[in-house]
Amino acid sequence: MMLGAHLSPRARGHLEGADVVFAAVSDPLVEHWLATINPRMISLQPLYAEGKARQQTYRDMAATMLAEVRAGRRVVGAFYGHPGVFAQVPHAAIAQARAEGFAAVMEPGISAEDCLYADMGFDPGAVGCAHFEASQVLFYERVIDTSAWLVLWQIGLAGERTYRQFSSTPEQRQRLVDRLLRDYPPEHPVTIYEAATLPIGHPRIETIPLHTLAHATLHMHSTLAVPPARRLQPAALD
Amino acid sequence: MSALIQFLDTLGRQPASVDFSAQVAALPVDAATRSALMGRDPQALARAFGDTRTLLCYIAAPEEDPMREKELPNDEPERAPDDAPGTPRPE
Repeated sequence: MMLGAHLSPRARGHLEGADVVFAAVSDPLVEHWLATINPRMISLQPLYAEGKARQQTYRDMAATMLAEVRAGRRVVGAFYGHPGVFAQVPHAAIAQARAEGFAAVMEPGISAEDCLYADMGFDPGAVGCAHFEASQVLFYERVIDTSAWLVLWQIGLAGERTYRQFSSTPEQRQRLVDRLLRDYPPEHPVTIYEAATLPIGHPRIETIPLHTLAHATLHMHSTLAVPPARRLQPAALD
Repeated sequence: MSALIQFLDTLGRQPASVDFSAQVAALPVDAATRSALMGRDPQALARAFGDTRTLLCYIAAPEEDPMREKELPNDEPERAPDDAPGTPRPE
């Protein structure tokens, strides 16, 4: 997540030894930094486009990497956070490479989730913590346990179902608020969290009442952390 | 590697060993970059560096494909699965 900081020695070794590095990161300076580790870094950004379904962009990203693998090159994909957490492209690319007989591995990284626990100072093991993609909570029937923490990813896209826009509207976000209000009171505190990507920066930890969320400033890398609304209830044991 | 990227890399890896103000003062960077560093302002730093692109970092979607009805023009109803092309619709 953070330039210079959250890169394991093993992952750095993969980057340094690659014939080509494909990057999908959140900060231009991080791209420049990756290029200093391996000048054969290629940004995947041009594959995004307004009006193009994100699912197609993701397929194109995997296909772009696989083309280089098939050409016999040693390929590394560098993705924001953990490459396997809320990240379909790395999983798809690795699965396809393996299906075609190529050796492919995923190195774990430090995700927004990891930074969130450290910056906000709570332990998901204390009362539990569920993670959902924000829109999925809206589009599907999900059971929320309000005695545990709830973390919603991609909150800035909540309710955007065309997959052709890069942010959602306050009206779309209000639908998510309305969904959460089925389980939480309007004044329940929720925290907008954004990890710092540069070592000179600070994380954003902004707590607001749930009912105001639709009009809050949300970014692509915003995550919503919702604390428990009730205590753990003792189980009725025989 | 530019002095700025080198500095950020070092600061990221060794936060406790860096005398921040002294290091920034000694960096061979322009005034805008130095000011952004001292202010710990990532946006100002990007401007000073000359790369203010907004990078997209979405690589997950909650559904495999966009909803089909969203691709249809206007409010045209989606055909039912057993409604073969050309089948007259009930009035």
